[in-house]
Amino acid sequence: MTTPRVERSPILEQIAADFAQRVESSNGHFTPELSTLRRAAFDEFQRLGIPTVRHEEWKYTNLFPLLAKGFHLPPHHTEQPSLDAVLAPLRRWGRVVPLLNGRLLSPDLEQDLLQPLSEAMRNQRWFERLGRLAPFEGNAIVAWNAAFFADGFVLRVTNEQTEPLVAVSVLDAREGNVAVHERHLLDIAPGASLVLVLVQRVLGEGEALLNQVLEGWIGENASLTLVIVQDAPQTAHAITTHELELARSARLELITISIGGGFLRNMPSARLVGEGADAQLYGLTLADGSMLVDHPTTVEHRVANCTSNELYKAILDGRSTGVFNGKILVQPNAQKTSAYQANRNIVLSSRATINTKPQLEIFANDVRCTHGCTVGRLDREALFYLRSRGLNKQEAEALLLAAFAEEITATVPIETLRTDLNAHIEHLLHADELA
Amino acid sequence: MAEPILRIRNLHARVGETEILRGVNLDVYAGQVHAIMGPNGSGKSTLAAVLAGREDYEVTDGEVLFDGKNLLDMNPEERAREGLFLAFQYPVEIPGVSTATFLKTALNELRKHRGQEPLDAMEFMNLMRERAALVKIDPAFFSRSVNEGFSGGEKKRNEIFQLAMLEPRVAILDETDSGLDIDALKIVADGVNALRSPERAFLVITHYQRLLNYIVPDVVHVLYRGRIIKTGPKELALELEAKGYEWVTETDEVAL
Repeated sequence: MTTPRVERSPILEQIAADFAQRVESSNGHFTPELSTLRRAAFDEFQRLGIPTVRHEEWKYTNLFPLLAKGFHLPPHHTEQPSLDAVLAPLRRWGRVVPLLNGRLLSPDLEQDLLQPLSEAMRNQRWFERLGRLAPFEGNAIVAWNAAFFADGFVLRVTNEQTEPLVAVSVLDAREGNVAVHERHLLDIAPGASLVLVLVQRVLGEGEALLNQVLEGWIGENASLTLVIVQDAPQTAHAITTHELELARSARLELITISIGGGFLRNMPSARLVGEGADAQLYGLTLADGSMLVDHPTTVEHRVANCTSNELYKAILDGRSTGVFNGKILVQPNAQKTSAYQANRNIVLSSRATINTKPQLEIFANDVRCTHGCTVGRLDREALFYLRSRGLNKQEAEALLLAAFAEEITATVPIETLRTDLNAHIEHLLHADELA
Repeated sequence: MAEPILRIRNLHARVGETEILRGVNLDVYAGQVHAIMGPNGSGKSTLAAVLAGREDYEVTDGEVLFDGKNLLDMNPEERAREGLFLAFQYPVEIPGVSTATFLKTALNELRKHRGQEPLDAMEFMNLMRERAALVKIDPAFFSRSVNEGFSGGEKKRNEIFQLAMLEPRVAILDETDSGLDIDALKIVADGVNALRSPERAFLVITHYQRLLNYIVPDVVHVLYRGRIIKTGPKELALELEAKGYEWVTETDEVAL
């Protein structure tokens, strides 16, 4: 990894000014230890600067045009906006946990299951975990988050949660463009299980950037299904860092559905540290206009006898950009690893681009790792076959694309969410611009 | 006599620089079954593809009237909606699209074109069950992806099943017998025979006479080098089987 050159841009100056004015003055919200940590994170962020395209890992994903829009920390409101209209449709998917500008608004949930991060930080046990999976050292995005996070949640699951939780990040952009930094911790106790949906909503006409960092531990024989739903209008932008550690025989399914939004960069990472652990990562991108969707994924096999599988698919139209960078790391001890990765892309427009790169680093000798990627157009034979049965060109294309997408949405274990996603996708595929 | 349902006049078509059809003339009337035979490379499958509207072929001359309308001006879906059906020689696998979804979409398009209401789920399911029985297709196939993982015989039966569902006025069977064992061939032929009607015509394209033992044609044509060089009654197929294509092609070359 190369160290990026520090960009002394007006953007960084503005972010520093925000830090001085807002964060320092609101430190009462946090413990002194946490305030110290935030100060150190800010210094690190200033040292590293905003990653530029000269940084290998940001080569195809330029943050500067996004940040040039000018994002500010959200203003403090004493009066809370009504979120009913935003939250009502999401209640179909599970129990809704709303966050407004990074702060939890969920008094009805049990304290031992869910609490604000700022409160949990008073407990040394939780404080010690902060940054253990996502340290800010050397990582500008995490450092930026650690310096600025408004708050977040700590979720501790000790049994089988039959009802999915739907954490809704509501960003209030009614008075202009906002950047919200959220920080979450997740602990799935041995044998417990959880389905967690993360979704973003924007209030108002402004644009909103969410910088979300989540650190999660999945205990022995525990299971986590994490569904990241990115279906908001193009004024919603997100940079997500989801660091997950899997103990013995733990199971992770991470499903990212990116079918709406402007600038989306998702950095999931699964670390398999207990034998028999299994990580499944799925991604679907459906991009049009000037949307950018970047998935740098990391799967790290640290011990023997673990399995992982990745399937990321993208349909790109308009001037959209897709990026997939799939890193699989197999450490020397991780014998009998089985790791698969596939990236399949359909490019519908000559102005759309896809950059895809598998990155396998294998230091053990008795492993099975495969990867493959395809970039293509729709199958002409299949199109002709469908048309010869009476479907018009647009219907035939939409049917083939929906089938391509459904392989990913089929992995979503919540039926109502799956139905909504498929309907949304079908609507997008029948819209004039796509296909 | 009534007008032919399909009238092909002086049809010329090429792919790239190679001229494949070099003046095909053919009149097909409703209720008839026409067999088109010929050696490999004679243009049989090209004729089927041009009629169905495959874009790889360029029609350079001639015309095709389908029920009096200019077929060559229509795109593939318009031809299907007017009542033309091609049973593919190599049916395409379509992963992720179930046979039921596919056929429901296709059938409702056709019904819309005919000014009929779309079928509801129950009516559609009943129709599928009834028509699937014609070619002994297990209803379990309905939820499977179109042709995906099907055997050669299953794919061909699925083509005839689609034919039964979409009820075309002209059905072209492109080498439907290729790759079928005798049992599968009988199932396919029984299905086709059950679908013969005074309103419907069939164009059966085949290399071998074998299929015509089961689907008995009214007229047999021999296509050679892009032209129909001989037309006769069903016995012509038997004669070709006995004497080989040289019997007609040699005469043709002399005539040329």
